[in-house]
This record gives sequence, structure tokens and C-alpha cells, in this order.
Amino acid sequence: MSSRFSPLPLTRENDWFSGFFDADGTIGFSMKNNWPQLIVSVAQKYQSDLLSFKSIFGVSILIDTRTNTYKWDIYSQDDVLDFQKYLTVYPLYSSKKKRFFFTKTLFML
Amino acid sequence: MNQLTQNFNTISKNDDSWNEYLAGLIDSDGSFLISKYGYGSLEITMDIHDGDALNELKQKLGGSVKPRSGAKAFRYRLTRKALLIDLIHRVKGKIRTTKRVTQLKRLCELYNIKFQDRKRNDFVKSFLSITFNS
Repeated sequence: MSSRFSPLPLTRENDWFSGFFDADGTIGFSMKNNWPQLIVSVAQKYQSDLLSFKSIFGVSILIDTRTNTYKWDIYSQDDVLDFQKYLTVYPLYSSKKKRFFFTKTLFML
Repeated sequence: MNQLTQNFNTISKNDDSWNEYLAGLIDSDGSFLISKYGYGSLEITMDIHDGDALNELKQKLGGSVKPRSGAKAFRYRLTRKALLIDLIHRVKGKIRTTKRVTQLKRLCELYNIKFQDRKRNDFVKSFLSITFNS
């Protein structure tokens, strides 16, 4: 019964991630040991809602004790560029689109 | 009215990719509501800078985008029954978060729509292809 009502398993060739990231995703920037650090993350109250991000783009989900939410976040250049590659095929529509365009430039610096 | 619904249904089959995006957006920032008078609606609230994304929805689905008072945010609202039914057909089977699935099920019951008309075979086929391709 549960399989009949559950949606199709998510793949990388799916726009769902860009829609989800458009609303609940964040692109942050900070300085760590005088070195720029880019953080791309998605926060949710329930871990189950983020498992698809983990299975498709890798990287584990951590619990943010400050806000009591689960967070899927990527820091490394490879992971961010991989996610950007996905977003070029399945684009964002919000203001994050402009911000995400700059990530590639940031790594060139 | 029926023809209007039919027209929208034909559109929805063509842009499946955009429907997936819409489902993701609803999963995170949207909500399906039923008023105490029995009217269904969809609301999506986003930051004031994301007005473009909501206007895109307005162009494709109808509805309205209005600024929220006292908050730097816009709210997209869809209340017309015919448009809402079209929306349900677009996102049915694509909504994934637990809360939203429950809300969508309730809305489907309200409009007598079968929640998931996908055959079990499709699910098994796609599951097997993903499992053995990875």
C-alpha cells in the first residue's frame, strides 16, 4: 500500500531539487583562517525530507543544534561545482540564481 | 469550465520538468489549505527578492501574487477550483515531504481526485532501473 502512494524515486535528472533549493536553500560565505569558505546548504525540520539530497549529491546530513533542524551542506569545491552543474541543466528561478552564478567565479580567484 | 480543465491538462503533460520544479517549491515553501467553508487553496510565500519566481507561477498557473503586510515577502495564492484541479494533476506523485503529502491527500479527497493513479508496475520498473544502473 505504501509503495502505491509513494512518489517515484528521485534521480539526478529531476527538477525537484532545484525547486526545493530555490525555497529552502541557502548560499553562505565566510572567512575561515583568512581563507574564503563557501557554504551551500538546505535545512529542514525532518531528516527524511533531506535523504534524497544525500543519496543524489552525497555528503551527510548533520543536525543543527542551534535551530533544531537537519542540514545538508556542501563546502568542498568539487561538491559545489557538481551541484552547480546540476543547476545549469535544471535552473533556479529565484534571486539565488544570480548568487549561484558567482560561485564558479569565486573558485577562480 | 470542463474545456478549461481539459486544456490545462494537455499543457501539464507537456512540461513535466517544470512540474517537478513546482513540486519541489511547494514541498518547501508552499502549503495546501482547506478553509472552514470547504474551499481549497494553495499558498506559496517567498522572500521579496523572489517575486520573479512567483510571477512565473502566476503566468503559468493563474492565481495572484501579493505582498505580505509587515514582512518582506510575497505570497502567491491559487483559489479557483478549475486551476487548483489542474495544479493537483501537475504535482500529483511528485510531492515528497510528509506534511505536504498529507495536505495534498486531503485536497484530493475534497475534489474527488484519485491521489495516485500511477500503476505499481511503473514504480517497480523505475526502482529496478535506478538500483541496477547505479
